[in-house]
Amino acid sequence: MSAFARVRELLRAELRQPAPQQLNTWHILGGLTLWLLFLEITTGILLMVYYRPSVDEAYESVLYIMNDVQLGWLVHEIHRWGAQLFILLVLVHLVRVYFHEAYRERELNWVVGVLLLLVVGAFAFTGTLLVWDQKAFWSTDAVRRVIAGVPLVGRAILYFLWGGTELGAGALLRFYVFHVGLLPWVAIGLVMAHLYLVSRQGLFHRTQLTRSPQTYADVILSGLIWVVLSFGIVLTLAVIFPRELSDRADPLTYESVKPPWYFLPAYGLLRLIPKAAGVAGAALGVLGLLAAPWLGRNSWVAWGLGMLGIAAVALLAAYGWRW
Amino acid sequence: MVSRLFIGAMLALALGGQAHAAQEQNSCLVCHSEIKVDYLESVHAAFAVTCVECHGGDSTVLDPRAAHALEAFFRGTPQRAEIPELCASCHSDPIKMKPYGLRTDQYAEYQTSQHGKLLAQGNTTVAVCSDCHTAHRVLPAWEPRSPVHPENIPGTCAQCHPQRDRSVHSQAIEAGNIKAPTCATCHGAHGTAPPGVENVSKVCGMCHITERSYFDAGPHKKPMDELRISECTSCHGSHTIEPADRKLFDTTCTNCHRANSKEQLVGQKIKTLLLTAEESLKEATYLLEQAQQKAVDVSAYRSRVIEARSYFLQALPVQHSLDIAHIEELTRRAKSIADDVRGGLHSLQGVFTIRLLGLTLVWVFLLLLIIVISLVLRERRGERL
Amino acid sequence: MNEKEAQGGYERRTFLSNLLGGALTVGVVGVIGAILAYLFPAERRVFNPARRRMRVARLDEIPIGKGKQVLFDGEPVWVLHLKGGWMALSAICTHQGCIVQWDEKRLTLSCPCHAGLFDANGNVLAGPPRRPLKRLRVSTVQGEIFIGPGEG
Repeated sequence: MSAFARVRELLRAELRQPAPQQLNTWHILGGLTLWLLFLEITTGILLMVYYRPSVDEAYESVLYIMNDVQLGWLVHEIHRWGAQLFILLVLVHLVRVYFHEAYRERELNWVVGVLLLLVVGAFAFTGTLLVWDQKAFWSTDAVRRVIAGVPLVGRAILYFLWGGTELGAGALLRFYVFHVGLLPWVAIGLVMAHLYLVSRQGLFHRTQLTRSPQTYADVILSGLIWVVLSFGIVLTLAVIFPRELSDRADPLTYESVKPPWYFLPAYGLLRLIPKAAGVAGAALGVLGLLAAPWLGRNSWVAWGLGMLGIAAVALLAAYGWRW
Repeated sequence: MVSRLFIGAMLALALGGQAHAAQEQNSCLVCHSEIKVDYLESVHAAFAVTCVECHGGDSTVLDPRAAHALEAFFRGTPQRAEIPELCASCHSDPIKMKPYGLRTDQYAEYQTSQHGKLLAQGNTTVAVCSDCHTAHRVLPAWEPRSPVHPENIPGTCAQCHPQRDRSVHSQAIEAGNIKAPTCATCHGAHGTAPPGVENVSKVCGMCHITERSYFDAGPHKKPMDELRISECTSCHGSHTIEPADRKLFDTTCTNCHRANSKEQLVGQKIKTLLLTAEESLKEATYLLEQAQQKAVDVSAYRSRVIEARSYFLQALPVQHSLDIAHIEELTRRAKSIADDVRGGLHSLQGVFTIRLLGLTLVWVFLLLLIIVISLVLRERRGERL
Repeated sequence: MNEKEAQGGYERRTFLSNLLGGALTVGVVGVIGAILAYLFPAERRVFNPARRRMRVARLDEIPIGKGKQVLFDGEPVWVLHLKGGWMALSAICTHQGCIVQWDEKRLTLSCPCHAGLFDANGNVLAGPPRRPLKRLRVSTVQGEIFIGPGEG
């Protein structure tokens, strides 16, 4: 047997493994986020070919990608819309896991998942600035003002993340390095840990397992349908709703910008509560999310807390949006 | 001129110390404290020109009687009629003025002015030096506080001549463009007189050089000179000059020419040429801005719009020659370039349709793929049952 | 389940899995093709945001007193050969944006629209403009003249 045939046999054996019967569409969400991560990394690498991370050239190089590079507009838009869908799916996945109470006995994997959510947020935050247009500049600068208002550690955070207290050439390069150099490794490491824990701890409690008519090949095939669908959706969004870049970032022309939808709850919170307290509130929220498996030991309490949390986030988002 | 003013300012600073010493001994300021503030700010104070130069008397004694003594040539407040001569006693003296780099012809000019002529006839209500320059707080014209600074001249003249104009010129002045003409630019500063009919085009032509040269080359010049019709102001007005507009062709031609006469039709023809070019240019500029916002690379079109705009702006002064061929040439160039840009920018927007077509094709493929996958899935389930 | 049905089922299964494999191959090839098209640099338009210099002419092509008008980043620029050296000035009049012309006899740049007049260093000599013409960097490298962004 050739080496290739041996590997094929191994894979086939894996695919022939029976899959749990309870496995349904909800469980595809996690796999789908993995596919979107792959899509983001691929288009991200492609964008790196033409993107130039300097204040003088960033905006122009994005214009170049969008106008002159063949299919450059498409790669750019897929990266952008793919990211939106990615964030949405990660959030839905989190809510799904919470209300299915799938975190029970998998507390560590829950923590890894929440960390991944934070990494995704960091990806979105650092990526927005890179186009270096007015919207990107002023929405990032608004965050700078918030962080600068944090007592004691604010300045230190700014020096670390921004490379100084001003949003400028140094900050752009740093954001770029975070976005393409540091965060991908963190994300890949966490995803591997996430998947490893899933495969070790199983999708279901052993007691719930029954004989199943489906194998993992069936699961992967039905997942493929969703992959194809989500790809189509991203393509459609990319073609029909292309982003219109605003003007080149000009630090001397203020523009009031609303944050993207996924940061609206935090924005609403900061609008509601004065600066340092608001930042503390947001940090408390993240800590609460991390500690969810321990807070909700009782099923009723877990559901109550979960619904309260979702209501609070939705209200804050609505407040931030209306502001 | 700027450098000379600058030297003047430096001199004022340098001489400040010496002037200060002179003011220490100036006893007038002890009693006349109401004038002290104004006077000490003036350029005269800075150059140690003291009270006695104009008012006579003795500034070294504190006794009012001795200071105001006629033996000390005390003059008191000068009569209005004698003010120009009094100022001229220094300001017309080339030797005295040489260190300050000032001209000395103001008095001679004043005597030729309407103000000066009426004063010579005994009319003392006309403006004398102190009416424009103030009596005690005399400031150089370049200082923004000075009443003869370009921005303040309209207000200064309006003290007596209340017909403040709302012309393009005064709007430019108010907007801070000190290159724009004030009252004095057209009427003269010291030699004020309304420009005669025969001189209007020369006065306007000081700045509107191209307009004037095209006008002089055109058919209006000779008959208007012969009939002594004021040249620029007949169409543009004098103190109420509005921004030049194509509408003027509808309102002013018929002042002299009959409606539907050959001459009036020439005016309408020029108006149409300019308007069509202007519209085309406006739309091209608008599309360019739109495309820029949609992140379409327009650098190839930017220079062309600049070019078209340049041709159009060149055509504007040529109007005054009434040379239709020349105007047509320039507007045609502006319009053809602008149309070109419009076409190019429009075709950039057609790209969207092609993208939609591609998307549809991709969806057809993706749907087929989904159908095939579900067929395979069904087949596998059926196999197990 | 008889022999024939089994035979037909097997054929259908092979057909379907081949169809799926083929369709996936087409998809992957399409994506790879798109990526290759993306990676192949576009030649349609000249665009270079990092452009730091543009060749204007050979040194001997522009004698002293002459000038050459070129386009740099979509804006017309005059490159002048003066007695004292080279000068690169934006050809856009600072008054209303007309394109100024180089007058070889008078050594001035004059605007045809409102008679603005600039000297060969870009300073305003007369007319309505208030600001001098924008200067660009100009330099000679190996017998050739180049211009670039930035103050000259």
